[in-house]
Amino acid sequence: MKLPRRAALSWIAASLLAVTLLTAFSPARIRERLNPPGEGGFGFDPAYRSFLEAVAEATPPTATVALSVPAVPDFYLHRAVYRLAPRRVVGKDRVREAGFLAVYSRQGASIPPGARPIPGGFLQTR
Amino acid sequence: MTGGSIFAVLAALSGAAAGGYAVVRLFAAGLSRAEKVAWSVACGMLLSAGLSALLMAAGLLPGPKKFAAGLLAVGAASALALRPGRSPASVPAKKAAPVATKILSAVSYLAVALFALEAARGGMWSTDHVAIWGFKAKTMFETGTIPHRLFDDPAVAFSNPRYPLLVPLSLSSFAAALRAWDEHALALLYPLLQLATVLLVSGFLSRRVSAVSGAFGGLLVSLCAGLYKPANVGTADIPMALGFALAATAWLDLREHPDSSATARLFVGSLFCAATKSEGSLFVLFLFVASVPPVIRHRRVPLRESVAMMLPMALHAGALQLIRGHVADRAVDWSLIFSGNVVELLPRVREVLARIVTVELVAAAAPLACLAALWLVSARGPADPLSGPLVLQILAYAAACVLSAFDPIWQVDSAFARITLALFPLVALIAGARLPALRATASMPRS
Repeated sequence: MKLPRRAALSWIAASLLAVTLLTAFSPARIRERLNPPGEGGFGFDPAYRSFLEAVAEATPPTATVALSVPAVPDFYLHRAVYRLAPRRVVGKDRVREAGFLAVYSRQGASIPPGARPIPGGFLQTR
Repeated sequence: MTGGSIFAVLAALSGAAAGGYAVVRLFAAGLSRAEKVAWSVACGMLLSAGLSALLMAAGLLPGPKKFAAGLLAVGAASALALRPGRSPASVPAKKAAPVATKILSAVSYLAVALFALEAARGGMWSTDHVAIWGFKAKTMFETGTIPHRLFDDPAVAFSNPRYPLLVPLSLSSFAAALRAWDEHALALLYPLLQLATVLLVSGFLSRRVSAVSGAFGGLLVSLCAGLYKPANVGTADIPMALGFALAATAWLDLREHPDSSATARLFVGSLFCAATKSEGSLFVLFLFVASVPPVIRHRRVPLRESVAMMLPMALHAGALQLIRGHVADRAVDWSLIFSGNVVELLPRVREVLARIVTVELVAAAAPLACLAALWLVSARGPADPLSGPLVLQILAYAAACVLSAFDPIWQVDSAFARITLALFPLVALIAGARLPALRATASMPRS
């Protein structure tokens, strides 16, 4: 099969394009892709997942929960809003709108009287 | 994720696609089988989302039986409707596929299978999923409504309340069909959308150019690892890529054969684009702009183009307005233009362009060089008219970074490459359509 020169050059350029894309499919990359870390987006703070699960278990789906979590990175707020949905989640500055206050602290917060200790912090019913 | 949930999600996705086919068969004249599958997946997604929205608006809880009944009703209505005849752009006579075509297609399907495994194992976890698309979808699924606080609660202003709702409604409707929010099972929607995009691009190119060009175009789409990656599972970029390809192929067909089937497909493609992301509406607008000069040259009113492109956008905007009301645009700082703030604007333009050139273009230098070489050495192809809208779309993304209400450099770093990669199926269409047929397929028609 013989192609005209221009056609052959077109297919060579196209093949090179495919080769540049194929670099993302090396055996090492494929192994890496098939074995994800399994942290489910909690790589920035694996302990935070247990805290959110405990808040979800202890509050009804119709509740509004005020959260005291690190402001940076904003992953803390985003993960909470998603994990706790359909509960309404607000920042601690709007605690007056909430039926619950959930406080997360990696250093271990002192638990006020009447609050319930949960993994990574405490939950206060208001 | 259990075997039961995999079975359930596959049944829900197949049911939606079957419902989609009941619609597609009304305007599928001349399409290849691969294209019909792709359009069925897209229509199935639109139907599921629309049905879910209607049920919630009527105060009913979406569930598997209601979906099955809705899809059966669509099927019955389609069976009663007349099926249009074949358009002049009908499928060429079937020939045995050359070996090259089979090999390229096999590699494409392997890439899709790899992404399916990756999506099912990893689930939906990216920041865009949890902060925007997944948050809205899960809230809709868990409450059985579209709560107004998704649009007006300042506590969740980060979730981009202005965004269209096709993706959240689709995810919530499939979750309702499963009766569970299973992040791993729902993630399988994304490889299905990848497969639909591969089939659409390969089917279109096979029909309009040659079988081997089609297989090559499909291969390019399937290998776009920057688009089909775990971080995009659960977001709107993969559906948007399909939307771009739907609108683009229907637009090219309409230019070639302005018949009712192509007009209907462009209507559906435009609706899919508008309902997925704001970029989708922008792309349809650019396609419309590119349609107008030839129409004016022929001294006719662009009625068909308006019905196919502007009407679905207007209908979608009206429906969104009804659902969520007016939501202020907080992502763009229009004062940079309307206050004549040129002193601040010009350095931003320089900053954004410099960042795009020195970071994004450098990162993509090798494939871009190959594309440039292909463009230089190959002859014009039937998808070349897409080049104008494609370039305008990329320029609009750069302009959006310049006008961002946030730090423009952060905007380039976090969004430019991601949203630009959703345009890759258009690149595959243009590149594939410029490839000459190999001798074994030289008798295939080239329109």
